[in-house]
Amino acid sequence: MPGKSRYYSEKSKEIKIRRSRIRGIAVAVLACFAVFFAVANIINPVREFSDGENRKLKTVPQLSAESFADGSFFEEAFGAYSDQFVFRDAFIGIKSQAELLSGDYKENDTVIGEDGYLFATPETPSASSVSAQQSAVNTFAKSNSGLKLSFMLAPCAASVLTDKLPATAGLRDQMADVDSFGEGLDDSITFINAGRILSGHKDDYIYYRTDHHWTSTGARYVFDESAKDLGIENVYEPVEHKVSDGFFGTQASSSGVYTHADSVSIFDYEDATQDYYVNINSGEKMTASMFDSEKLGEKDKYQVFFGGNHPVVEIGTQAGTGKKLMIFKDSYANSFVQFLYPYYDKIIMIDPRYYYEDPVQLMKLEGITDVLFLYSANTLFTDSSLVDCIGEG
Amino acid sequence: MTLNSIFFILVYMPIALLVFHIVPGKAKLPVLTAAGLCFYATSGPVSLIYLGVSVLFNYLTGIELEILKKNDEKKKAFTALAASVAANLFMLGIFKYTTAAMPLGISFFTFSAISYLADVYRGEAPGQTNLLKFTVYLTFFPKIISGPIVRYADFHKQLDNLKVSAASLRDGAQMFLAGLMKKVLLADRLGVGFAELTAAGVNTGSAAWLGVVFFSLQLYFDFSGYSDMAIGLSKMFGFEINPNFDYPYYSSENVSIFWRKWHISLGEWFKHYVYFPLGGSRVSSRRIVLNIMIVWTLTGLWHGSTLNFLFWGLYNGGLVLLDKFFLGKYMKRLPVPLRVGITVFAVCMGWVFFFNPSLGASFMYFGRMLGGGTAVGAGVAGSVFVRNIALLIVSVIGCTSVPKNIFEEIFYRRGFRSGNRVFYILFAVAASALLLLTIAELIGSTNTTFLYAQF
Repeated sequence: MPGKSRYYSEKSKEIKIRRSRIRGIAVAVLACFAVFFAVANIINPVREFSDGENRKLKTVPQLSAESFADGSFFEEAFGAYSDQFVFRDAFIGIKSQAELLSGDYKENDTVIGEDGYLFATPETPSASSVSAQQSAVNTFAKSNSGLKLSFMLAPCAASVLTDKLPATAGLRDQMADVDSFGEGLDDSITFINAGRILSGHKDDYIYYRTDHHWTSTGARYVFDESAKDLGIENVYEPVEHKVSDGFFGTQASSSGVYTHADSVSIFDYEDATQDYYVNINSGEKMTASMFDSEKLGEKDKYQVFFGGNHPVVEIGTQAGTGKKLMIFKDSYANSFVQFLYPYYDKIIMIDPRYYYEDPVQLMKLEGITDVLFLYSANTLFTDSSLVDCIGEG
Repeated sequence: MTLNSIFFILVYMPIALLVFHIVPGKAKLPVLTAAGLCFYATSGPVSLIYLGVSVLFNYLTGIELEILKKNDEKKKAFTALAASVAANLFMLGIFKYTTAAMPLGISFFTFSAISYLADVYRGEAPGQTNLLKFTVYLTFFPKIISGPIVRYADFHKQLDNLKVSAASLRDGAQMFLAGLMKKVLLADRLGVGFAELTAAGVNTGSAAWLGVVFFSLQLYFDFSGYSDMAIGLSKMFGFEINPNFDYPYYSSENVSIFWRKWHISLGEWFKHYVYFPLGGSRVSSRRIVLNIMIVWTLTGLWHGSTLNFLFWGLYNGGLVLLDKFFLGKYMKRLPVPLRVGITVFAVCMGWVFFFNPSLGASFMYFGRMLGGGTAVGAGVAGSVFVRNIALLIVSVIGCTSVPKNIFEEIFYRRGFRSGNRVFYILFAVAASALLLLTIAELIGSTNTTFLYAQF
């Protein structure tokens, strides 16, 4: 049948043409991308720092005989190419959204939950470091038996706001880890699992959606319900001021998901007439407020509290209670102290991660009466500086 | 620099291609050589120096072999061949089995060099007198880092008769892009899942089984994707290289067939330069057993210097023998899908030796698959599985020829019937979107957030 074979040969000829056109389009797409990104990357101004990633970006390195010989020049240069890539932040966002669409709700250790909640992964405590910390704290308690000692530990949001987690997230239950940390402490130490308090307020805005900290509201609930344990009577009524609506914290950065902005509130006391001073790093900075409003213009708005973490911060008040408090802490304490200050004549915050002196000497010198350890579990379980700071058990 | 680095895709490759295609015919090979050496130099000058030594040594040996053969000094020629192959293997061994910094791609270009020497000795190809052409054979940058290992007998004619055309550029570009997407969108994602399971300690049976699934798929898409990129890139420069994979997980009815479809170029190399010289299958059954085990022992050692790779080789040699002498006749009675299933299962069990760092760790892993070990972190396997269901489904389908058939049906055949431009536009949009996603994955994978970096 000559007709049919002609039909087939024409068809296969047509297929060949189509195939070569389709492949021609592939070349064109590749060429367009190469030209577009070449031009765009040349025009794109150099960025030294990424707010989103909270780190210095690589820039084109200097070529030296040494860096050429050990191959580090090219490694740095290729790193700079992707660090300085045009629309870098947008590409990071595309990646996370695409993966989210494919059903992968975890991005760079951040679990994307309901209502815009971005959860940090609960850290697993290692048995040896936990027992080292417990015995260090217990020894510290024994040698400072005249003082009122409290230990407050807060699990991360994923272990409290469990309803908002994807059903299959399978994350570690840090609430239980916090409880068992407390069980290993001496009875002379008042242990407070902040997560047990926060669990009673699950429907409130107790953790930031996009950051790994508790909100001021969360800190306030914990303060209200633990004040008695901390030895505080007659609690004043603080007043809330919302200071920002556009906060995207560390979990937004690591996941690349920027959909639900957080708001930041601070509290102060209208009734508490007493003024206070804040002395950061023994005179490095003196101020009359624990709130650093300049930080609200920056990316990490949680730094509105004390301007971030410092080795040592001293808050002097006119409370006239005769009590002086020392806090060994991580950044969770920064937003907790706004509720504490009316009840102590002096509060000294020590961040063991950056404080390298002997705190016991300072305690004696200042006449400290109360000591509070205030940590988030994710810091305590991954950081050994507390043991270094207060001495091994 | 690797073929899947964003700098290579968007800067180095386009520039190299542009210059290569613009310059007149005579200048093309020098451009290719320069592009290859610059590409290789980014991995450090030490590697480059060793590569240079290897090029010169093998080039001169090739000439020597030609001269000895011309003078009919067969014994001397054989001695020269044996000595030079031994020298190549010795250097490979030194770098592989000591802590010395290993030159990038040494396993691959050493085997290319041996192929050259053997082919010249056996008269399958003439010795190369043109140093430039020889350098291109050994250092051709699409294949230098991870192959495919091209036999000199298959390659040398292309060096004399470079066929650069718009058609080869087109075919190559499509293949390169498809390979890139396999690597970045599938293999790298599977790798993240596998790493998550490993990081959690693979403490449960389900995690261990899931780990095998992830790794088996990752390895396939990683290596076949990279091979497609290398072959596509070669095409764009006018060189034809044979496929390195042929749907091994999809259509292998027994283990021997599987290994003829997986890393084809390495299998061919062992066939031509070890198995056939030993007599191949045209010897007594006892010798066949020995020959197969020799080939697989060497294959294992080639992949890595630790015992687990040796074991992996022995395991697969054992499988091949088992099939050849015992189970083959029973297998033939089973329906084809079941045969393929059994084959793939057996091969994937072998990967346990491949991805564990040591022999002991491999057996511990098997122990966990059978239910040993404690069930700490039980939630990890479930979470990794649920989050990657879509990826796993796409990957499993991607192991078959179905996506290719659908693609051809839509863009070549159906497009013909309807005869309009919609399909071209559709393809352009889809290709751009996927390439954009690929770039996003590459850029996004360098997203490193420092939680506590205020200081």
